[in-house]
Amino acid sequence: MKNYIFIIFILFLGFSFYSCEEEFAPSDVKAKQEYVVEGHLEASRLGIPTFVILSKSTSYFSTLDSALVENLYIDDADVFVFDGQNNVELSYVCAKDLSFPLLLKLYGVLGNKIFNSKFCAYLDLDNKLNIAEEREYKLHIEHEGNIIESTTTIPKNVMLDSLYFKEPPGDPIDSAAMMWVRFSDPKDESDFYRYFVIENFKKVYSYNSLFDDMIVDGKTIDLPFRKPVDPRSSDFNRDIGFTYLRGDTLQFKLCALDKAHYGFWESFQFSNNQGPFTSYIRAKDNIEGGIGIWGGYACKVVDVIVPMK
Amino acid sequence: MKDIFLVLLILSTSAINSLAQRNLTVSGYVVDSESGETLVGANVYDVNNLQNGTTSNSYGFYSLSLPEGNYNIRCSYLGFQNQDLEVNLKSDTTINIRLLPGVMLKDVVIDAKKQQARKNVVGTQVGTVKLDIKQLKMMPVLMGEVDVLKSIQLLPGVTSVSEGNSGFYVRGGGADQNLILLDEAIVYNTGHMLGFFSVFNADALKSTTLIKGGMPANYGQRLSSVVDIKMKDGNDKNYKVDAGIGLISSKLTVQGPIIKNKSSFIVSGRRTYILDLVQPLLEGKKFEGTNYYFYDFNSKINYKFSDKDRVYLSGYFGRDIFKLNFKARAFEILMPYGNSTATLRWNHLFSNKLFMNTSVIYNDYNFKLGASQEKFSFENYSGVRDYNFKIDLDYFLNNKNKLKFGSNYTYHKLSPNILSAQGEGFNLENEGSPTFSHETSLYLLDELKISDILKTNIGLRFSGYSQMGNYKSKINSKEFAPNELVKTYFNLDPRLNFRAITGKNSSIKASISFTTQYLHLVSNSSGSIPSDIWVSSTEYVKPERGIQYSLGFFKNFFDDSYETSIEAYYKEMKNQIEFREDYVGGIDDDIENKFVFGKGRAFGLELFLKKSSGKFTGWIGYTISKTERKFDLINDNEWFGTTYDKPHDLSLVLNYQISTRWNASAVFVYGSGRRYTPVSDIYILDGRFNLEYGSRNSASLPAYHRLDLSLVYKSKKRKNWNSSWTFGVYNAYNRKNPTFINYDTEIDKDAGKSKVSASKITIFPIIPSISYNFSWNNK
Repeated sequence: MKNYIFIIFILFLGFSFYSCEEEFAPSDVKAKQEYVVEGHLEASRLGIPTFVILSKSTSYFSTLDSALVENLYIDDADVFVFDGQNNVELSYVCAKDLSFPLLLKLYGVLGNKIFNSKFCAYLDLDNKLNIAEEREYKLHIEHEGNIIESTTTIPKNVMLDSLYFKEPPGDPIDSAAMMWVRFSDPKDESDFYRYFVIENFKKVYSYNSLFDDMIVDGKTIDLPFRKPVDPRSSDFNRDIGFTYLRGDTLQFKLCALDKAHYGFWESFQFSNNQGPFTSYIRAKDNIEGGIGIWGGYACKVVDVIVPMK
Repeated sequence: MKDIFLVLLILSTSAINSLAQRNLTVSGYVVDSESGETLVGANVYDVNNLQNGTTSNSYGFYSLSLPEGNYNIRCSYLGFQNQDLEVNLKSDTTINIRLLPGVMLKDVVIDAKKQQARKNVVGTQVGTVKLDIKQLKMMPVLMGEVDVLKSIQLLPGVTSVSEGNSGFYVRGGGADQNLILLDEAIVYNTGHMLGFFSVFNADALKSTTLIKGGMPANYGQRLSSVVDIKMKDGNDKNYKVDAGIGLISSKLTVQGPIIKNKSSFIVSGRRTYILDLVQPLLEGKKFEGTNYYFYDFNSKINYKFSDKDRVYLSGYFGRDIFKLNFKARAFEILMPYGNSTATLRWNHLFSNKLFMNTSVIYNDYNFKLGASQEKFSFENYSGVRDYNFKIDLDYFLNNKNKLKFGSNYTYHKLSPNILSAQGEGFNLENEGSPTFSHETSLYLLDELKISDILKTNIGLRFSGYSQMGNYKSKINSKEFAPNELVKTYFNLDPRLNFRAITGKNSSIKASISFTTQYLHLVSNSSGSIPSDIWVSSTEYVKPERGIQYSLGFFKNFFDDSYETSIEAYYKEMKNQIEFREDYVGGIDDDIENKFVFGKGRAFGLELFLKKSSGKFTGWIGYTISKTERKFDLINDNEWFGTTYDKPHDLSLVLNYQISTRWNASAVFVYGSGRRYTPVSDIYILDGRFNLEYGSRNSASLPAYHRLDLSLVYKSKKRKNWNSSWTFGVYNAYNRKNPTFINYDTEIDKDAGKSKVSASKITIFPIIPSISYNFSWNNK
């Protein structure tokens, strides 16, 4: 994080005198065209089906139109998940073939793209997998003679004690509130967390919402949970910053995830920039034969309306 | 290794034999007659037999052995008039030589410059350059800030990784592999403002020496190079004030006698103010109170108890302060960082042949990043603190044999990533805790003139390092209590420098040097930045080891007016450390888990031509080189070029004395573009396009080149008052050198298309500067 503070520092200093940006054509770099896995398992009361989105990376120099993007997705792979007892083949299904309740469940993870009729993924439609905490899941994919494999676990659930709202810090602002959560971290284990917020059944936020128990190990603690919105996006409301608008309906989901799963999202969120001082960061995937993530969550979900003042 | 011991044995025997010769000694200090400053590296020799000569040591002391008789002894030093002394030597004699600054008699100054240039051929040191602070002040620099470390980057074999950064890389070594000493105290962070300016205020400096190859045995603790910076002692004759007003900072130096000819002081300070000036504009705004500035403060006092005993106390304190204030949300970030050093030194003469320097040194570097919002706050702290005691002895056996030996003990306390957080009802800390270690060394070196043709500088350095608890072993999970010994390393570093005169004005020099480094700066940045952390060698993190071979041909032309050299080097490094490719720079209890270990190699050829006398002076340096690293977990264990691997690097430095009042300088640099890791693919995950990178450092930015110009105008001299204006232009032809590449995704919603594009970002365009300097003295 320190490096990112430095970027603020640089913006404030160096670029205050000048900076110039010109288009640059890097020398040709051979594209790897790797398999990309985005696989999700979740133990929560929401009943979100296990899914895998399988695609391929493409050359950095490509112009991406809808046809090319569609072609990146792979629809003819054999995708299996082994839960320790059952080896379940996931079905390739497109959004137009899914029921509305199922779409809503997937929306909570994938956001708006689920409503694109061309969206397709491999799903455990009939919930054949035994999704449970403290259990290991193996992913096995075969495509055109290539094997892609990964393993993940769903860890023990989070002890989320309560959720409440307080006045935001700083100058009084009537329209917003800061979310606080009391939760208990198990002692003597390395625990990793990620949280999601769905706002008014419309927007799903999970930007920079990872944390571990480095300083809260074994403690029951009240902490402020900022809205996990990307400050560079159009969804960011500068007037209220990372607080929540009073009157909004929120679904707050606090999830535990294993170290490899956490490590992927941690590195992934920083992997898209190579600044003046920071080196590149390569997302640490847990996929053999490709890149991406096959990750399990154990989540506690709270539905809440931000109280009016 | 056995052969080296054999050579040492032979040399020792030779040293003992040389004791048998009956010689008398002329010894003393060489000082500037106007300020009383001791002069380092002054030549003292018998005019009638140039083979009878020596140079003053790091503390200005010389000792010349001669048989009984009459001699014409000459002392010369760059920038000073020669002084000739008629000596009737009947017994051991002490003569303190006071040299006059050479502004009046140009011929003798030129002679001194040529004497200095002659060392290029006759000295044993390979890859050693002494920088003239006066010359540095004439050179064009970024925003008018005279910068020792940026000037070093203009020498062959020395590169930088990004524009404006004072971090530098010597012969393929890392930025942390340079031993940077300020009055013998190690300076762990050398840059203000993210390295755009060095922490050294040139007004407070006496001398700067760079050793990039053939490191003598009295230096250790780092793998690649030495930058030995000495602060001025202070004028013990007159009071003097020097001040300068520049675009971004102002500085003031005051020096003078405490007791005339016996004791003096110097204090020097510098502070930036450019963002202080915009504070009124921020009043009432969102970011009111946001600011950045840096300052540094040097001071030194000394006292001469007698001709045999002198004591010096010097110190440095510098800080960068960045404060971001978001008043409306009561949010504040405060980031202070900087060095503090203190050196207490005692010079003692046991005899006119045996000189001792004893130093007690404290140095500290710390970096803090704090954030607070009402009752919630957190702070991240990293730092290094050393307590150091060292003894160095110079034994001037005779004019053919000079011994140097000593020892050094350092207690290190390293605090990588200590995190604390406070809030309502809680006060938390991570499990990161300081590490403690002991580092000791013993060394012996012998500068021996075997014949008029052959001369060697041979040495041996023995070092030990003990890691202390508390520590949890990664090998067997054993937990070590505080102060319990965890692991000890011992290393032996032989050093050999060899010179053979090949003609009237030419020589061949060769060196082999083994080096060991126990502290490591691990960085995930493309250059080096203040938040990079220093870590200790542990049971898990092995000491870095290096070996460098150098071979050079040195020749002077036109009566020593022109120095030239060709030097080749090959260097190997073991136990190099990098962060893993997925390291995001976060705060971790166990930072060692984030490291990967590997090796490095570098080789190159350096060409150097320098003209140091006459109206027109300067140098041209060119290096062709290759620098690579290899790590198991990076780049599939294949060799890759470092970010500072520049196959071609050219520097041209020119200075022209137009008249006594006007001086013009120009610097031109050309270098291969910095290496970077390119994006090879894009992929879709988490509902967006993402970047996948190709092989490590497999692409290069466009070539870097730049021209800087400066013009110095000295006002008419008055009795007590001198002043000058310096006009400078950085990047005179406005070359848009890219500092980094930015990748972006452009989305054209109407066309239903998107394209990922790259752009190059330039930070430093043409930048003019102006500064005014003046000095007053009560002479």
